[in-house]
Amino acid sequence: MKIRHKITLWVVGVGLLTSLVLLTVVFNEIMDEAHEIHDPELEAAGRTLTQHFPFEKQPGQIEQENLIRPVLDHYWVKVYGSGRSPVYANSLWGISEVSLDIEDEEDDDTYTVSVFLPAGSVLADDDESSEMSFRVHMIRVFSNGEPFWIQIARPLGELEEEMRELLVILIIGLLGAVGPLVIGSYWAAGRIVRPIAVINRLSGEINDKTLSQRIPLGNSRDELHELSRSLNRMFDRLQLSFEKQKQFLANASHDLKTPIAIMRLFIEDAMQRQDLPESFKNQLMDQGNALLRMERLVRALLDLSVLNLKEKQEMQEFDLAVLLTEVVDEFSIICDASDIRIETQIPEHLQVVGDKDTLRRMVINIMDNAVKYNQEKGVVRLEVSATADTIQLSLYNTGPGIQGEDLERVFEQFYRVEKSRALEYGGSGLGLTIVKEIVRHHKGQVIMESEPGAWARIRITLPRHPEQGLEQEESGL
Amino acid sequence: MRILIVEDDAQLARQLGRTLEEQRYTVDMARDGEVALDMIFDQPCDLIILDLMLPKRDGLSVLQEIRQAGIPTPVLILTAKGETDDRIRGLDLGADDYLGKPFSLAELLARARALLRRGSENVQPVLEVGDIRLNTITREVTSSTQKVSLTPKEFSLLEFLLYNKNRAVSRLSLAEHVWGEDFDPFTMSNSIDVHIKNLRKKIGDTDSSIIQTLRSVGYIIRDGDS
Repeated sequence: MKIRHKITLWVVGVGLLTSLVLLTVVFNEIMDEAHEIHDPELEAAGRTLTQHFPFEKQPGQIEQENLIRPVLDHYWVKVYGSGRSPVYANSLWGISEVSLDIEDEEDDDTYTVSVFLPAGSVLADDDESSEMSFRVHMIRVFSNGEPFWIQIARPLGELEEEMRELLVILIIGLLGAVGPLVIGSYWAAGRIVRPIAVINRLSGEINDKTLSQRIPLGNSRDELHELSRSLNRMFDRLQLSFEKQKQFLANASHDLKTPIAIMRLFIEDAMQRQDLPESFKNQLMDQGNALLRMERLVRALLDLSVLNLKEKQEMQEFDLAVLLTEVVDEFSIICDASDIRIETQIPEHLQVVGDKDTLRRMVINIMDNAVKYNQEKGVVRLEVSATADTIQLSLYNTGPGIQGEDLERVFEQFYRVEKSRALEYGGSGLGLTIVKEIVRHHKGQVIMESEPGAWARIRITLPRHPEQGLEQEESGL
Repeated sequence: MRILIVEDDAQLARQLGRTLEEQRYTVDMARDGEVALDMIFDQPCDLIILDLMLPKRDGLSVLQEIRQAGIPTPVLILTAKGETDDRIRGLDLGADDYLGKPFSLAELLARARALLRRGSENVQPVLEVGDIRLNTITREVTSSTQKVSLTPKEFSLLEFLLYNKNRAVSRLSLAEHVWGEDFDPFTMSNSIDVHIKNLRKKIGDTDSSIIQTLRSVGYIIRDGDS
């Protein structure tokens, strides 16, 4: 679940809960308010009854009492004697048998709301035989030591109905508020999350090649600002250790050169001596070859680190076709010696802007691979085509090829398809890594294709002007 | 012939000195730039082999000073830097050649001999063995007065073997020299035999008596009398 959805859900949930609590409180308050208007009235009437009600008289005579007459005319009045049996009910009740449960409360005065089924005659104005709500006041009095309960009630009339309508309206209103609440919180969540998405995108764009880039800091000094700063600090440390590592590699390979030179001089010098047995000289030659391999490796490592460190190269315009033809010529004799056929298809002119030395290196490296990992009576085919903005090189060679899982990894440092053949083929294991670096410097692309057991093909696309790059050209198409 | 080696790494200097002395050169050594300048101004020499990374004064400033003083002694720069910038600056300042560390002994000797030849006016720029003569300046080769036309690779091979006369040169050293450091000598050495075969045919060395094959090692050109 996305953070945006989570925030929305939380805001809506909490909003609804708060409104519900608020509505309940307000609704109850309104309810109480309505009763508080009626209750003093009932109390006053009740007081008249307690003071003047003739408990000792018969029901017929009670109606004659002038002091309580107005009360009996307007309120529903019932009186219960000891044993809680009704002893009197005024005429509004219609039928005297209708009784009300008296709660076992000890309080003298209580107010309750009760629902009766009123007699049709009493409420002539109400055709419906629906139930009716009353506000009931119960008073306990003592007359001659005996307890009596006076129950005095007044109909609530429309109040209940109004309250019910109010409740419905409130619930509808609440439901209506959910819509804006969802939309509003979704929008707000989006606003909160947007800087996170920006930070995420920017930090995702920073890779080992663009380690000098940083996340731009916003103006507001909030948590996201802090997050950006922390990430930037992390990138600082990362960049520093990357550069240290590169520098270390450069220094180490540089410092290895002199000791190798000393050993090489010694071995080559010893090879010339007449007084050493032949078998020893052969061993020396093996040592010399191993040393030469080490030298190539050190040089490749240094080249790689220099290529890494040196972002700017000497870009000049030149004819790539001439360079390609030269390099192919260099390889032609060795191919003759190994019975490998070279086929080429190179346009007459290929004007390109690039660093001539490193591009030459690139072509030599891929040719070297194509010749090295070939078979007897094999073929090397170099096909070059060009558009207005790009040059495509395709170098095909027969041979063992590369298994699928290795295809992605041939550009990795020290990756060899067949580890056991490293000695046989020589090479540093960095040839294609250097090729990839050079292509990257020229803002091109390189891919390796292969049919295992049959052939391999490396395809390089170079922009004619590296400043323009390949992406622009692709989007332009 | 006096050669001054200016190199701060004592082991490398000693090894170089020993090798050059075996070649009958007189060798002086300087460990830093200031000592080197003192020695150069004190006693003229025929070749200076100059490392660029030196204590006290670096190689480039030493080079600058001796050229400003008008001393024409040929200078061979040794550099472990490998950066083209340094090489170009060195050559701009008046160095005659450069060699990146590590280098093959055959390569160093060939360069040193070439520079020594160029430096001394009374020596003809011609290398010879038997009736084969190779002019390093006009790049002409003759076999008993008959002109021989060689490809650049073949010329380079013959020249290299002649500079290393009486020394065995391995296929890998030949490959390194002929193709330069961008090519993998392990790949290229396979075709050295082909080049040698063609070269022998052209200079009339039908019985391989001039360019001799040393089995599993490489090739050697020996003086007729040795």
